[in-house]
Amino acid sequence: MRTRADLLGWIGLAGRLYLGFVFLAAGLAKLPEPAITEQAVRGYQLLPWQLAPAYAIAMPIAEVVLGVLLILGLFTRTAAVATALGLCSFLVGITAAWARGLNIDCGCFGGGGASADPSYLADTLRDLGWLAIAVYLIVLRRTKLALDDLLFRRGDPSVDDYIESSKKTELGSST
Amino acid sequence: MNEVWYVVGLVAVSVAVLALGVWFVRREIRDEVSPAPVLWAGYAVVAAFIVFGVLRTSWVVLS
Repeated sequence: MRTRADLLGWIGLAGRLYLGFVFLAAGLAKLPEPAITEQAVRGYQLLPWQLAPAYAIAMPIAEVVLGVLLILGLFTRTAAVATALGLCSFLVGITAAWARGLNIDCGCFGGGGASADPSYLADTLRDLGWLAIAVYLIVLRRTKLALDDLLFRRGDPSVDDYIESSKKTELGSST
Repeated sequence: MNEVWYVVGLVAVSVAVLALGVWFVRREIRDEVSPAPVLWAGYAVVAAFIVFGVLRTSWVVLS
């Protein structure tokens, strides 16, 4: 059983690092270009026009913060919930543009706006894959080499700590 | 017509996600992972985000 627990924890670590670096890269790519990001946000025609500038600044910062938290394994489950919500909003944006017949680039890693050759299917499948990783991190209660372990846990992890009856998380303790 | 079916699908998926969220929170409370008020407050924030997103998107897509 210990092997299974270890395996789940290592898979969680791999997912955490992968998703963390994806979000960090996406945020860092957009951070220096708020005007282009604003144009990409407006391309979706979903948010009120006045909100686009604020969203174009806040989104890359949130992506960087979430990426760092995931990489460090700090507040992992909370970060995974926020990441999943972010990915859901990206999925809704992409699919809504697709359903309306808009021709835009997703602007996920910078750029964005009008595009002659949108890749909605590929973007949707990619985001669904990342969403699956985020959900895995939410369901899994512990991952390997996480700062959460140092700050919120004690002792040697058991299998239960990975999936079922752990008593402590970054959200608090009831023991 | 595409837009109508999109909104129907979006609402259906969102309702399923909200229901799964209730199951998930109840499981976490049962396992004493965190205090119930904290978990339900977190669920309320997430649910509000989802409901607002669905309403806004449906409005934009159908208008």
